[in-house]
Amino acid sequence: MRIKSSQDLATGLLFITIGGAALVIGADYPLGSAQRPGTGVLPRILSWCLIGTGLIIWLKAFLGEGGPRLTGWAWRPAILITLAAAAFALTIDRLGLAIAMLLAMTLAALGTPETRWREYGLFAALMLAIGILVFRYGLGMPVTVLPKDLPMTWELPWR
Amino acid sequence: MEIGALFANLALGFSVAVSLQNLFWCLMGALIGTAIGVLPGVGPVATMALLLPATYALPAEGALIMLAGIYYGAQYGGSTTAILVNLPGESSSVVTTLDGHQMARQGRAGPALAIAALGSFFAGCVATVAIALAAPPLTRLAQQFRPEDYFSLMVLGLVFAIVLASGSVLKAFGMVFLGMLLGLVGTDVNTGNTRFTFDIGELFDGIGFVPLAMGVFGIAEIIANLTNRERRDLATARVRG
Repeated sequence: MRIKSSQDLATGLLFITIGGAALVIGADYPLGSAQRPGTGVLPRILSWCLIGTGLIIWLKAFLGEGGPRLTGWAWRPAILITLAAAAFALTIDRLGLAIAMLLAMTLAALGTPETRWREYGLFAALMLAIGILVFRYGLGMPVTVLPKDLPMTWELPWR
Repeated sequence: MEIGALFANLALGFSVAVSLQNLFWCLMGALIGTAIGVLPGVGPVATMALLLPATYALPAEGALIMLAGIYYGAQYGGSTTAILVNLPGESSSVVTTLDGHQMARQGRAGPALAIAALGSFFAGCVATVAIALAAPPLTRLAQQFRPEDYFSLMVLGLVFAIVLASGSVLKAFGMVFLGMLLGLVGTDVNTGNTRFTFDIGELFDGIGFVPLAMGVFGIAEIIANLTNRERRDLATARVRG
């Protein structure tokens, strides 16, 4: 058995993984009866459909006529750009717009080795000024610019 | 409603709206609305909510006209980022990214922006006339909509999602299932139980459409652009009219 399309293989495995995870997480959702279907019915149907589709795609990777190969993983941009968005979301409430924006921009700039840091400094300063002026003062959005209460009690946003 | 009454009502509306002052407020509203609507993530509703205080000082007609201008401006503004950087600002401009960004990629960002503007103007005018004409019969039709009709509409949408998808049909099926699974996150409207929320309060309402679309279209585009060097085409070509 040779793998003819590594992209199909990855897609199939991804679908199977997500479907399986949904099945496991949703395992204790009540099924109800056929007359009154419960919360768990639709997730279960969709999970099985997703797993089935994933299986067919996975099989096609071996039996099909071949397709595009997987390109290399780009860990650096994938991780850092995602981190940038997450960091902004987690810090905006507590640390204020200025620090959250700086954090997000710096993390995103680290995502590629091509960042020219002198230009980045200029860009960041400009974006900070525009962001604070437009969102805080122009639109009056309920965000603070600087940290609210510095002796922080750090807690996760849930619980 | 007969046609005569329709024209009488329209004439009354125009007699109020067409004054230099009200047209000026409309222009201001559309201008500011477009400027704010360009910001990704701030859709028409959010823009109107943000700019509502600006209309407090106006008389009632002027305020309504300015809000209408803001609405249309914000509705259109989202298409700019959708075309240039593949970031849909709101749900309605997701479709614009499909063709508009492809045009921008081929160096035709100017025509794409012009088409979006003209299309927005033309469709806005036609839709307004159509609503004025068809509102009374349409309300009667809408009242006859029953659960099976809603169900059929949804099936139609899902079938179209698969038929219109470019590329592998099988993967389109998978993505439709994945999308429906993502749509289940949040509170089940029938029972009130929560699904896939992991006790995170923000997820009780479900996953918002705009964050999802921005992640799938925008963030993925940024990452892909940082990966392949030869495909670097984010706003590198000059925008020409």
